[in-house]
Amino acid sequence: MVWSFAFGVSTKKQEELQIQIDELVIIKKERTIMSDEKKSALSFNRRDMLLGAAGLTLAAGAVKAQQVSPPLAPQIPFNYPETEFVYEAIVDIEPGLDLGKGPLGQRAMVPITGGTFEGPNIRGTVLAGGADRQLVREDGVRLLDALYELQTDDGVIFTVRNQVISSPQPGQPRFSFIQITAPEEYGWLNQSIHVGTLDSLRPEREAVLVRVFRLV
Amino acid sequence: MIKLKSITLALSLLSCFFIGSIQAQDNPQPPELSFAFEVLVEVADPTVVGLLPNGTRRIVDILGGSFEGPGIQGRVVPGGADWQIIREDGFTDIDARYTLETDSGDLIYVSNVGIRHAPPDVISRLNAGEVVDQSQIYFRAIPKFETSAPELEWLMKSIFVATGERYPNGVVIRFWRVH
Repeated sequence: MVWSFAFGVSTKKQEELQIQIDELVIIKKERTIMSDEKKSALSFNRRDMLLGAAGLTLAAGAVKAQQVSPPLAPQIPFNYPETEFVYEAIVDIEPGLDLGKGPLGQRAMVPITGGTFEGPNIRGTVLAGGADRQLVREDGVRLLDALYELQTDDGVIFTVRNQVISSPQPGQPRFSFIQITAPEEYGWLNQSIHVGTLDSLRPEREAVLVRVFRLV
Repeated sequence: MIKLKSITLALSLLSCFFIGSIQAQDNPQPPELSFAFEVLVEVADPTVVGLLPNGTRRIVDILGGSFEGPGIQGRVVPGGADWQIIREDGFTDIDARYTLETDSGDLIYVSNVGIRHAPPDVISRLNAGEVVDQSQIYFRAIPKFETSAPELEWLMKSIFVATGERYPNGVVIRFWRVH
């Protein structure tokens, strides 16, 4: 096994990842047997490319299918992405407006009226004036698309766009991807892809809790 | 001043009470990422459209490839591309769109939008077609999938993230489901 684990992965997580990998390796082995019989064009392309990646040159015509299908390409280490907590925001909202049914489904708009946010290197307030546009798709999945501004304690304003997929089954966790556009002072926020979680704070507060994680 | 502080403290304690146990964990549980599948994409030499106000537009055609993960595998249908902007600050905006076809003939449209950046020397070696240490490159994206195959509807019901690695004649993209 050549998988390299990044630092900071918990043992539990490593075990889970290992199980996923083991499943994958089994599938690969099954495929190897298959491709030996079928000389699958799929594996052929794969090997050709991986050899290229390793900096080797080899005439494509010389590749034999029997040599193909290394278990997930030892030339390419399997790097696991990790996440890192950035901040959490309590976003105050007003009751949603029903916008009726559009061509793509039922629509709603939830005004954002304020709130606060805080993380290890950042804190401040949620500015009023943003909103979350929602669409309920034909399959019952609710798509949220919130656009709003945060202002840090040192006066810098950045824009957050949070796109959530919400399952029709109640109680399911909700995840999102989050685009942040910040001015120079907080330029580090522009340099990563972010994902988020979304929880309701009702009935205690007419607000949602958004946690933001950087994809490392 | 002290009075003001104690009022603030009282207010913040009060708000803690109202919000309940969900608020302000020191170390929130991060979302879990599980491996969905990986795509090996063969790409053509870039077509450079030219310099725009937001950077250099270049188009990298997708020639084909393969994909594989637990319970899913197939080929990359030739004909997609990655419409990139190479920005002045060294970032590349990635906007790849292509089609996958599973071994059972189902089609998946992939739109993968993200960023790639690395130290300048690494980028220039990468652009010169050299093999570089992938750990020095931040290549991450958010994919969206569309498919009409009922057994693949999970692709449209979760958030996914993508990690990418660029090699001289191809790209490896791994998709991870957020749980």
